[in-house]
Amino acid sequence: MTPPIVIETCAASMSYAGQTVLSGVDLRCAAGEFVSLLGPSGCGKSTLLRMAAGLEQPTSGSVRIGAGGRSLDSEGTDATSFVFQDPNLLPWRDVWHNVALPLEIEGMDRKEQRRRIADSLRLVGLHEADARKYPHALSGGMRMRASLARALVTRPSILLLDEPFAALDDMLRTQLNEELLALWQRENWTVLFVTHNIAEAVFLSNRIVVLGGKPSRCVAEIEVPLPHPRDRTLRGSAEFARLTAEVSASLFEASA
Amino acid sequence: MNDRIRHALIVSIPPLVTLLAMIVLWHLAVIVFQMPPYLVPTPKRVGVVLLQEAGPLARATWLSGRAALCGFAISLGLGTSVAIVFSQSALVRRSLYPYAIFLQTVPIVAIAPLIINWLGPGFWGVVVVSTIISLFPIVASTTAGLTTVPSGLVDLFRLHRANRIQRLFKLQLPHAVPALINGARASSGLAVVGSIVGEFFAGYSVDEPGLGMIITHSSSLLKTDLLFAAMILSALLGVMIFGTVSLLTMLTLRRWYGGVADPNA
Repeated sequence: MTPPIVIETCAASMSYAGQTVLSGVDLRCAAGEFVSLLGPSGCGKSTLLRMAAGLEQPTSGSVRIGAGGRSLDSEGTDATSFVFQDPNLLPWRDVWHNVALPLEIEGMDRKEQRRRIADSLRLVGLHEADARKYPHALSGGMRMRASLARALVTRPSILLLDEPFAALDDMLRTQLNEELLALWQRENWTVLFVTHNIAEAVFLSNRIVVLGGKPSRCVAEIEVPLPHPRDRTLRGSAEFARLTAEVSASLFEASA
Repeated sequence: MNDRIRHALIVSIPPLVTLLAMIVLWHLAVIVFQMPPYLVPTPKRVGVVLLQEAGPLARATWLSGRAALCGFAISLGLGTSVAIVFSQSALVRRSLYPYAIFLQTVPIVAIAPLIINWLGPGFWGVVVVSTIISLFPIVASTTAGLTTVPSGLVDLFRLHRANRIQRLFKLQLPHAVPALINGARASSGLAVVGSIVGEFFAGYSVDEPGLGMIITHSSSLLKTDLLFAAMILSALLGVMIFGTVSLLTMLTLRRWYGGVADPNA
């Protein structure tokens, strides 16, 4: 049995002030897939992700998310979470209460909230002591972990990530990539991941969708048949280098 | 602890030296230019009056301070409420904001007599004048704080389908706190001005004058030393209220922003 399609855009287009940013994008993600959207800056990959999240409406075409076509706020197994490029933490709340926010809005019972928050913090590797810190006292990596914990606290089955590690240094990015991938394997999420970093896309994804051109559309789809579990030694392998070169070539072709 | 004492000294010594220098200059100026006491009294005379009239002056400072605090508190409550209404609808904001600016630009001396006609002389007339003069900074800066939430945070609340009330209390109001406090700082000084000016017109009674009344009376009687004493006390009153608000600011914001007094700066 093939897994159901949980994210689907049909001929989705987007224009701002008469300028077409995205033109006729068809994208399909099956349940459990890890798909990266790769493209040069300003190609509209974030816009596509925001459309999937319901933050923006396509000018034409359609966007569907969740197996039953349910939208982002729906309860149950198709819940979707979004991770921003900026950690977007509320400066007046400590980590614990930042993570609590989605549950508070939902109006969840306090006791259940505490359990979920503790689980979520553990998942992203934040300790009890970190949870009492305010965002200004955290490093960039810790802030991103807190942001991730907030996204996971609703127990989503679909994760939309908008260049979450773009502002971090290389070492930290590599480490968080591995942690994210390990979580994905364990939790069986469907992930749509926006990035402009080729190595990151290859390392994480089952499939890479390359956006490019003016206006942007899907210019290539590249399967990444690397076996799981993946770790950092993979980055030195010949297969990894071949895939990186292939993605890089299609990216340059797209921007040419 | 040692560091804190050192810091306190570094902060407090230069202004104290300035103060001393000014008093000395003042004293010398009076002597050198042979100024008559009804124009400029010596600092010593002012000091003597401050001591001689300590009781009535303290009473007057309390009366003016009470009216200023009351006006400031009303401004704080009313200003924040108005800002909340403004933040909820662009239409309401566009319709009413020009009239809020009117509060800021109308010369208070032009409408104070009218207010006294309506409310009669005494405490409440003074409070209303103080409120009118101190309201606008709070409305303006709180409205700005409520309506300039970073778009990423607005998106976050949209993603989780927060309703209007949740957005107001969990996002807009906390985000507006630094702006509100900045407005409150400006407004606290104005509230003192308002209560003094209000007394020029409204007063309480000759038996129970506030600082504003003492200023007008002593001025008309050419009791310039008493005028100076009242002036100094009104300035101190303003500084005290402003200082208290600033202190509260620091205590609140340190927790959120690690001691950055104004995160928007």
